[in-house]
Order: sequence, then C-alpha cells, then structure tokens
Amino acid sequence: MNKEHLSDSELQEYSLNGENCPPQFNEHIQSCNFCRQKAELYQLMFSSEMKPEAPIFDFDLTQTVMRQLPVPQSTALEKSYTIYWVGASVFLSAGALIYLIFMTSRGFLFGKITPMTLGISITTFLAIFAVLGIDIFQKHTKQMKVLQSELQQLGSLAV
Amino acid sequence: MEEKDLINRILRGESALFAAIIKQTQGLVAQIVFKLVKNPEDRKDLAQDIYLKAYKNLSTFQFQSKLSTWIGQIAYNTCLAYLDKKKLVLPDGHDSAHENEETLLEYLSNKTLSSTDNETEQLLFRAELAELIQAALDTLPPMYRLLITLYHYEELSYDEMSAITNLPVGTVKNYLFRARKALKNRLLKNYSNEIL
Repeated sequence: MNKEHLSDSELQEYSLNGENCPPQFNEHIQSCNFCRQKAELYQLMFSSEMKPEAPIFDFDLTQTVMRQLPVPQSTALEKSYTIYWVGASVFLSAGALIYLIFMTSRGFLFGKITPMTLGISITTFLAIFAVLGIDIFQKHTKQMKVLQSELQQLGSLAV
Repeated sequence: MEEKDLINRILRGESALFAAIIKQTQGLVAQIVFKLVKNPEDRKDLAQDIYLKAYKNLSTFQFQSKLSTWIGQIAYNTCLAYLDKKKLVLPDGHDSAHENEETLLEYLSNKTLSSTDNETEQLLFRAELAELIQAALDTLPPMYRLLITLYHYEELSYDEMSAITNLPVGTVKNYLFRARKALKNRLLKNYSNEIL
C-alpha cells in the first residue's frame, strides 16, 4: 500500500459503487479502521433510513395555477371568427330579405309614407337591432369566460 | 396517457389537462424550490411562476428530455433569477475536516453498529442522526443542497442533473463530491457539539 489512507474521493467511490470499485480500495478498507468508519459514515448518510421527508407546498399548487391559466389563444380566435361569420351571414340574409320585400311591395306597403319617414324608420330599426346584437354578444362572451374557468376548475379536480 | 399525447391535447386547447402535468412534476419542483429558496412566501410565488412559464412555453418543448427534466430546468432557472435579484450569490463551501475526526468516527461507528445497545436506543440514535444530517444539509450552500437532493433523494442521473442546472456533467460530479464531503464534515461538527 503506497499511502496511509484513502482520499475522500476514493472513499465516496467505494461507498457508492461498493464491489465495482478498484480492488485495492477494498483491501485497504478491510485493513484500515479509520477509512472503514469514514466509508460507513458516507453509506449511512445517504441510506434510505436517513432520507428526509420530501418537501410539500402548503397550498394547493394545482388549483392556484389552473385558475391563472389564460384561455388558449387559438381557441379564442377560432370562436371569435365563428361569431363574426355567423353575425355577418345573419346581417346579409336579413338585408337581402328586407331589400326583396321592399322592392316587391313598396307601392303596397309604403305608398302613403314619405321617403323621410321611411328613412328614419329603417335607421331606427337598424340602430335598435345593432344595440341588441352587441348586448347579446357581450353577454355571450362573459358567460363563455365563466364557463371556461368552471371547466378548468372541474378539470383540475378530476385529474 | 403518453406525455406526447398529453402535451398535444393541451396545445390544442384542452388546458384543463395541464393539471396532470403539475401533479406529476410538483415533487421535483418542490425539491428544487425548497433547496434553493428559504422564504415560504417567495417559494409560493416562484412555484406558480414556474408552472405559468411552463404552460406559456409548452409549445417550445422539443421532447429531447423528459418533461419533468424540462420543468425542473425552468424551476432551477426561475429560482436562480430570484437569487440574483435578491443579490444572494451561491457561496462556495470551504469545509475542513474536524480536528477530532478519528475519535468522532470511532464514537459514531460504535453507536451505529454496536450490537450490544438495545434496539430502542439504536432507533432513537438513528432518528437523532437523521435530524443532524438534515440540519447539516440545511447549512450547506444552496447548490450543494440541491445536488445532494437531486442525486440521492430524487435519484436523478448525472445527465438529468446536468440538463436541469445547465452545468457540464463533469462539473456536476465535482460539485456533488464536494457537497458530500462538506455534508460529512458539517455532520461531524454538529455531532461533536451534541456529544460535548
């Protein structure tokens, strides 16, 4: 043996790898009390019985994070595009229908109404229609947000 | 569910499934956050921040490592940024061996291995020793605490630890060796204070 004791690095290697470390380590450990005790201490320090309890967060991390997740961009976009397409189709269809009715029966329906009264009536009708439409859209968006957050909470409980 | 399927479904809009990822990985994240950050309030903020970052960047995950390793990496970088912000540098340990190392080892060896002591006494001694190890671990520099925890308690490989800490494998091994040595020296110091 060319030295008195094994180095810390060699002792750690012996403690972790046991039989797979160089044979001279084994020979030395068998004959040297100090190194054997040091190696045993290393083994004991990292044995399963000395393993501390794993730390745990003292709050519900899953729930807290899930409540803060943003609505996925792609889905929100897809939904808003759908709403615009449906809205535009309804407006175009309604416009075409009104135009057809107006063209085919304007003499019968509006024969005695002045153009000024007719214009005001149509403008008022369209304004009311637009205000109602915006209100419905806002309510729908709000309800969808509430629904989405409730779904997220349910999902986090279920998983 | 496969990790890849889970991630693809979350990316397609099923964000509720992200809860499964949190449940799977929060053990590792807790180990990293608890070992690097002492303040409980800051730990809470950091843990949330880590998962919000993971969710935001989920589309950039390349499946080159385990998802837990990737989230561990986010956890480590987030804690490191916090430590920098608070001007808390990672100190290097300069632990020397105890002057009475030989006597202490002899005493410890007798206590832990002696068959003449009764069993209850042995159990009590080992429980006390476990507490001393924990106390010694808590006094180590954050990096050492973390590496010992990841390797010995979370049983991660050197490669996984290298990915999380963004350190070369050789550096991880070197730090881990120094960490074990520092822990052993501090344990002996604490132990000598206990018995004297």
